[in-house]
Amino acid sequence: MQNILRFFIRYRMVLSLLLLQTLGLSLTYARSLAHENLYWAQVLERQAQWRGWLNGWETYLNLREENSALIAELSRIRSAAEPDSSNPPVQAYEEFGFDFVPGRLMFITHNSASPWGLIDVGRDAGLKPPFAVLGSRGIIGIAYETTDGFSRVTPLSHPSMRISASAERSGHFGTLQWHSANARFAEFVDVAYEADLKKGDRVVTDARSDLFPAGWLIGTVDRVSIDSTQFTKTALVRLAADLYRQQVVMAAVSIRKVERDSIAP
Amino acid sequence: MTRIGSWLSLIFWVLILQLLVLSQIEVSGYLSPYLYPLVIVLAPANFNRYGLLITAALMGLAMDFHEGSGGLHLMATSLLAYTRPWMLNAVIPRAAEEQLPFAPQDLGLGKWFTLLLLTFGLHHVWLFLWASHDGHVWSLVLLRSLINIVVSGSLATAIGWFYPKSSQG
Repeated sequence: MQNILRFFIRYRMVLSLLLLQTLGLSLTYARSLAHENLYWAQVLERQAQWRGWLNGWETYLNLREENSALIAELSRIRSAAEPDSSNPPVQAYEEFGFDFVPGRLMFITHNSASPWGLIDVGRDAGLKPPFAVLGSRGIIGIAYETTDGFSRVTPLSHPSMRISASAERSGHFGTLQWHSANARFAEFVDVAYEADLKKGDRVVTDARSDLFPAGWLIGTVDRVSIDSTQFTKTALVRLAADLYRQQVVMAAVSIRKVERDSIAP
Repeated sequence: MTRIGSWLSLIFWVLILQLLVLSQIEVSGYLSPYLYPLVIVLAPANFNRYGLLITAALMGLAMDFHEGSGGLHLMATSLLAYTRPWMLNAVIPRAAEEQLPFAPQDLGLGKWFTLLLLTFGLHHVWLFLWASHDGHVWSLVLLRSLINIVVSGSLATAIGWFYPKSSQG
């Protein structure tokens, strides 16, 4: 106690000065609004700096976890974006006795004697040949061969192609067949003589076809001629589908073929 | 200054001048002359240090009450009183032991201005430093201190010059 007292007596000047400085500061900050504001502004700024520094370290130390989370998220996105070949999702719907499977026409080669094309859906999508391939504007052709992921398409421009068709306006039926090397046209032959075909008439698939759903557009009549020996009419049809470009297609698989075959004579 | 009577008389007149005239002067927020530190500077060299500290604190407190400045003058004046013996010794060695006079006409202008620069400089810088809250605008602190040291120092020199010359002993 005596030592403490001696300490205070010995350093009374410094202690008094410190006391007076503290008193002055207290009075200043207690009575001056400007100082109070400045004080709190500085306190908050230092607090923000401290939190920023601390958060920076926390972020740095959490980088490994964030990395793992990002990798997991990336994997999820990739697995959603890429088709899983081991268990492919089959997106098909049924309408008018046909199953429709969406796909994409990758190409059609017209240079060889027997033109052919490829679409990017096959057995994995539940397709079994033969089946029709329909474009958004008109029919494309028929697929006769499939692999797991692809199907080979015989387009309308193939010389052996024969499709049951009818004139939409009059209902007269005939057969659509290859016309020439020009893949933009086909011939609508064996149409009844009395059929009133005009330029611009729509030619569509008809219900006789095993492969095509009825009523799908094939093309429009461009020119009509009369085969006087056969008493039939022939029309040059401008195909609606563009067989020279990649496009979205539908693979149409008849699910009533068996039923229809059973009733046929 | 060596005579206590003259010093007490100086306190009276300086405080009157400070409170009634100089404290009313305020130019653009920069110039507000403070003459009252002269009282501490011119306190008798052998005056009790603790007594000088308490006197300075009371005078500073009175200034703060008058100006509504919290405790700014209290801080600056008490610091000046605490350090004055060292500053006086730096300019006039053995002033306290030999009770040497240190009014302007006793010291000569050179030493007098040195003493003023040290004492008023410390007082003003400390005062304006805390007035601007911990020197967050240093340029303002230094500019205000410089302007006020020049003006207050000139006033102090004028007052000290017309004060009767000390007779030693």
